[in-house]
Amino acid sequence: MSFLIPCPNCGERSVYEFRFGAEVKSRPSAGSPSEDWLRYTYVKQNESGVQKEWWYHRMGCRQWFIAVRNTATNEVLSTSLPEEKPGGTSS
Amino acid sequence: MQLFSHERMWRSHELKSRYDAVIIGAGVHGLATAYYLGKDHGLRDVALLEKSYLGAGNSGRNTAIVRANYRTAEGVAFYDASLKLYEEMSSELGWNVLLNQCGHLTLAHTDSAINGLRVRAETNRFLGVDSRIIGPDEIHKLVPTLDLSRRPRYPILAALYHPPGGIIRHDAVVWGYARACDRMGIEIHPFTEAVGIRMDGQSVSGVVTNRGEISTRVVANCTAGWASKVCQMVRVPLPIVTYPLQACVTEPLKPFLDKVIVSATLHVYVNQTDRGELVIGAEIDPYQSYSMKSTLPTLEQMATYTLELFPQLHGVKVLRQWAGICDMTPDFAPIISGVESLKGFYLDVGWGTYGFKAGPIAGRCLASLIATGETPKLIAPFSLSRFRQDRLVGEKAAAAVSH
Amino acid sequence: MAHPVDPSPPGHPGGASEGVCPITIFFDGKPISAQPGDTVASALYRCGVRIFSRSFKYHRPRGLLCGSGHCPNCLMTVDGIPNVRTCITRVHDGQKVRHQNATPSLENDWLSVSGFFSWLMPVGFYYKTFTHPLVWRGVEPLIRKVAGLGEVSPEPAADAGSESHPEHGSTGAGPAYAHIFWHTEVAVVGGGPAGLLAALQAARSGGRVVLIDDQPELGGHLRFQGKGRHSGEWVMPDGQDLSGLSGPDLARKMAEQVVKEPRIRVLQDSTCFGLYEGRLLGVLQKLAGGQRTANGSPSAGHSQALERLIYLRTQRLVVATGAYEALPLFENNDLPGVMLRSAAQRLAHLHGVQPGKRAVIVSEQADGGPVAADLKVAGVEIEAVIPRRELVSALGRKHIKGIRTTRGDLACDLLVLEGDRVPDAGLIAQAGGSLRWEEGQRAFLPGEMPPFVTVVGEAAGIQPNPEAPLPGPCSKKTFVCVCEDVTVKDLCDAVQEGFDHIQTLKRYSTVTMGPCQGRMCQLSSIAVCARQTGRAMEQTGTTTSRPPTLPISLGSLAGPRHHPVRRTPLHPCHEALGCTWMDMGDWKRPHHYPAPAAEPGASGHGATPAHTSTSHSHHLPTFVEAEYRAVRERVGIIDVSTLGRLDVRGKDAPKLLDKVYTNRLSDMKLGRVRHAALCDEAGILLDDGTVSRLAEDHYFITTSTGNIEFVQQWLEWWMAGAGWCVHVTNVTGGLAAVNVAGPKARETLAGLTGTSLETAAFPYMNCRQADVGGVPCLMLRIGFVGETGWELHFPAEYGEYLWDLVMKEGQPFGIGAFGVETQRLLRLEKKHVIVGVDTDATSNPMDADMAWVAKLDKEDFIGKAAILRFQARLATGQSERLVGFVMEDDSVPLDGSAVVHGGRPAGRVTSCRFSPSIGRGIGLAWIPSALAHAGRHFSIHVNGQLGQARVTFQPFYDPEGKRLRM
Repeated sequence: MSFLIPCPNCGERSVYEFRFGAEVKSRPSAGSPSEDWLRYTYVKQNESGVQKEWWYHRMGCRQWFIAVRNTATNEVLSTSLPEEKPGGTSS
Repeated sequence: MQLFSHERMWRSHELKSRYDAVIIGAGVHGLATAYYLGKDHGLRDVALLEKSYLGAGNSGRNTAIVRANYRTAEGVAFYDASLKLYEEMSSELGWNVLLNQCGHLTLAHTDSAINGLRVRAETNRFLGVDSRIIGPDEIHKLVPTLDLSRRPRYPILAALYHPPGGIIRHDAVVWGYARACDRMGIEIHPFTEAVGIRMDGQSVSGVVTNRGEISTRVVANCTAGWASKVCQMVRVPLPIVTYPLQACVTEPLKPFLDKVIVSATLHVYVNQTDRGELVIGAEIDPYQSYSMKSTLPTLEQMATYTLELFPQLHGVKVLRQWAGICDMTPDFAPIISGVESLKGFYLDVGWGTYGFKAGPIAGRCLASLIATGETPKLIAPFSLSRFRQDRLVGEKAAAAVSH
Repeated sequence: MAHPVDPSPPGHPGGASEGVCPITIFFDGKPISAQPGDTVASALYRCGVRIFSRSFKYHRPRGLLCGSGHCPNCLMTVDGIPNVRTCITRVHDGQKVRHQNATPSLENDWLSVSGFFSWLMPVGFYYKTFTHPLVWRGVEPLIRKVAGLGEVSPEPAADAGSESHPEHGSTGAGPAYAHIFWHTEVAVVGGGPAGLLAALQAARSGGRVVLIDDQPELGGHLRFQGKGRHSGEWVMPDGQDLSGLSGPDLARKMAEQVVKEPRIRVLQDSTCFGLYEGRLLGVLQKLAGGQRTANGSPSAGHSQALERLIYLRTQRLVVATGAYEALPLFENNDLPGVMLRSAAQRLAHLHGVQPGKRAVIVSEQADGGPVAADLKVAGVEIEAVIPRRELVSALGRKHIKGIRTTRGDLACDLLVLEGDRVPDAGLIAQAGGSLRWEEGQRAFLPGEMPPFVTVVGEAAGIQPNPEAPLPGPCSKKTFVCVCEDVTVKDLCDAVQEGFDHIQTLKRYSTVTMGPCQGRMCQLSSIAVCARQTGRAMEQTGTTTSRPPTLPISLGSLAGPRHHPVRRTPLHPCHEALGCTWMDMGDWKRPHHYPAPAAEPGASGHGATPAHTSTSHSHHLPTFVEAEYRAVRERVGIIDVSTLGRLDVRGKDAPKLLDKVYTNRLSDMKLGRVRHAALCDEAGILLDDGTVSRLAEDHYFITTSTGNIEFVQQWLEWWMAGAGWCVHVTNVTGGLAAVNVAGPKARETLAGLTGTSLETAAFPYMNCRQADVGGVPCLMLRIGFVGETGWELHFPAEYGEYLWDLVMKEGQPFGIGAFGVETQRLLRLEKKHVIVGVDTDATSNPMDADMAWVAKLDKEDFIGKAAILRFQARLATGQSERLVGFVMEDDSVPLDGSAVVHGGRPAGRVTSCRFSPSIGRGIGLAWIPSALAHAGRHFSIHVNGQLGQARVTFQPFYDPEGKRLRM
């Protein structure tokens, strides 16, 4: 719990200041078939490697942003303010 | 006499080109599955593939606590059956797994925690599992070293006492099973990594490893931490997120604590091994990761909360800290079933932080499923298809830390 | 008794001769005089102590071995702290030192007989024996009893490390342990010559440097070298040439330069125990001011920390940790009197203690190298110098009497070994660097390093070990691991049994798992494993190096005790009334107030009511009775400041709330209040609360206590990236809140506000901004407890003022304060579900009988798809339902009791209380939906029997809600 995340607003900070959201997924549109909703709700890519995910800077700017992180090494390759809409459910 | 015999525990083999069944992951779950395939069903043409040394995964990283005091009827029945198998294991395998049923206490520091414990006590009682709520006086008698004063930020109000719970030597379980499997002719292949799974239409047909290819009609995914990765090979999507879980061990002390102590409010659990070390475990880390690097803030938390329970331990030193990775499902219950879309492919995954306790019974049930095609009643609630039916198991409500 | 040979030992500025106060320490109660600069071990050694500990398994006598904190041989209990390495612990006056793991004394330990039976205890002994559960059950406690090393007090209060105030959860007196956070450009670990030079170079190139050294003085091994000329060229970065000086002089000169350099911050007595992700170093600093009292706590009035944990973030790391010596393998290599060179040199040079009288030196240099000269200066007679391969065994029982060599026996009382040099690579492995076997140096050396790490000095490469490591014969008397009493024979047997991978060998034999963390045994165990398997050292590899590289106390890791407590702005009002507190997350809330008859303050901070009884009394506790009556018959007031409060503004606020809440909130009229709920995509209830619309673009939202952070983040997440104009502000801390409810609530408040409280002007589920007693309030007319009432939210700073004002105004009407317990009873009579109490992490609104919160005709909201599925399932009758129930008998089941159906647990009671208005137990329970029909009976387990309950979907009290609307 000590790797560093460059917050797009506040710069490099300890992961301790952040809250992990979830891997980025796209939410089905209203009225999609039940199958789509079930997959979206439960299935996780759970990538061992580089994945796009949501983080929140709890003890800083209090904003959600997107991080590209290697989940095997915890190396954060990049961060950006969100362009995509929230996807996954909270965990 | 076994004591002075230095017979090999398990032999090494060349990888054959085909087996009746291949089990990926030779931890407690994989080994138990193989053991019961051989023992209960006479299926011995089985290969166990382990990508590292035997017991390298969570089987050698957990805090070796066993118990049956779960919350749901499904959970209690299942883990109770597992505990019974652990009780018989030493004599069955002729190998002492050092089971110490010293008793297990789950502490409550708030009213609502007591109510949560009562739900468990009630379910346990009806299913014949010894577990009951006790107050501070009785806690003090059982664990005189525990701080029951008003000093802690969250004073201890009550506990769920589960006398049959306890600790075991996790590595011994691995080795004992491995020896028993070896004696039945089941092959154990350490440093053999499954890198791909072959499919023949809607059926499994083989496994590709770093040591060559195997053909088989049965593949069981008995991995922890890598369940998603193995399932990606056959495009079976899983509802799993992998989180690190950390623990540490102190230098050896003279007898100080002979019960397992768990506090969900304080996110910590503590027990003392027969060697005298205190084993301290934490809550899962708050983010998804496959990294098994220990972290300092988590160690600080483990120390902080341990001292809330046992302030006199402040001068005791931590020797080692380590991490394992846990496959968490949405309902904190495992997935142990076949897969509708792929014949011959079996799952024994998603064990979160509970896997070690479940090893023997999970193995026995999975072996039965593989050999007979019938789903044993004990694992019926834990199928992968429950997530398509919103039939989640209510174990998640039993609070976050309840190793 | 040995005698000091040099009254003013070199390396310490203030010797005893300078008239410093004499120091007395107590060893097992016996006073022993020590000199300033002494370690506990050197003081004991000077007084003739030779056995420092008894070994873990066989209770063999063990003496000073490494003298530098790398082995387990000198572990004792010092000032109540177990397992202290006495060879690196400095003395202070009055220090209490106790031996460990020996009864009655180190000299005569009863359990040493176990050593004679060691042949009976081959590797894996316990796994292979006692396989019968009953036998094991009898044996296990005996094994347990003799295991372990040091002892700690069984009494929690005896020694808490730091005193603290029970209610504040923070430290009262001086904390024993401190934490600080630093950042630096360069961290240099190791204050030996390589580290000093690296620090000077880094500082010279402009960086801010933190230099971390675990010794009281800089200079590393130079400090305890002989007075002869130190080899090598020593030119400092500023050009100064220090070549030709003696080791100690060179150390002094280099240290002076480092200390003078303003860019270098020196941390002495500091151990860098771990390198973690994000270039974070864990550093433990022992502070000079710290002196413990006899029980290990800081002395009274002491305000300075004993130990300080430094979280040090660095840009670059220089590892200059040097090398240490490991124990060579030969028979009886663990006998007291067998000493590594570092220990002999330290004793002689740093402490002026003669390590022995007659020594044999094991060295590859014919003259015994510098250590021979050092020993001669200390007055030790050198019996012989022999090369390692000639050494067969040490002779003696409790102390070395001689050695056996391939050329005959030699008498001696000291055997000084040039151990195998092992580069100290713990940090390197943690940095993710690889270790490779370097055959030329016969050592594992750092290979690939992450770009921010540099390794210098002996950590990067050593003078080649002559023949290290020689595994020697498979002897039961040659100790590989002195921590765990693992012999070469044990390892050979284990390999034969199939534990032929270094990782499984470690776990099976426990080699490297003891307090020395493998320092003494890692290299030799790899050598044995390599030989037995016929594999090369490189192939055999090392075990994983895990932090901490040196054992760190729980107290240091935990730091000063700090557990936050949140108090509401009305806290003093409740204190004044003498309430009984309860914890709700971080918050303190009044559980109840003393019953009127009781003396105010009498119940103080007493424990909350008994939790372990088997059922509720069917009479209410008197305090609840009184509080209940006040609300139902007159007027009551409760502090609800712990509710989370969000201020949501912006033109897109209605859109956001419609998306996230299950209800429709965009169509609310101004001044209206709605009860609303949040679900996740799986349809699980996350939270509920009230939503008030203050303006077209302005909402005021309440959340459950403790859920505020979550709800705020949840709302913000669902608008992330959407470009919507909404501001979500957490206003919880800024607002106090009370709920004033009861038939006389209107009269009570009417006197304080100009706003009309009549139902026509201010109906139920409406809100108004109003002035109450001069305080700007947001008044919500809601009815959680089932009576006419108003929830007032107002600036926190007016908290006490307004509470007192309302209490005064309500006095003529018989106002009474009520706590959480009474509130729960009142709401239960209204069958209000509390999310998180009556629901859990698997509950959805359909099954929880809260279908009304979900507006399924909305096009979309979070969780809609799942809730639709739950709705469909509801019709199939295959689920659990949350229902209200009334007991048919006198029993009142406890919260959490089991619902029993067909002899099996089939559900659970979430809340149950005796209802004064019904005169029976009432509650909420999850039951199978087959039973969930109004009027249907089901059984609840109460006190070993089954109580009968009847399902009801109606509120128990005022089912039409008339009283709310009055």
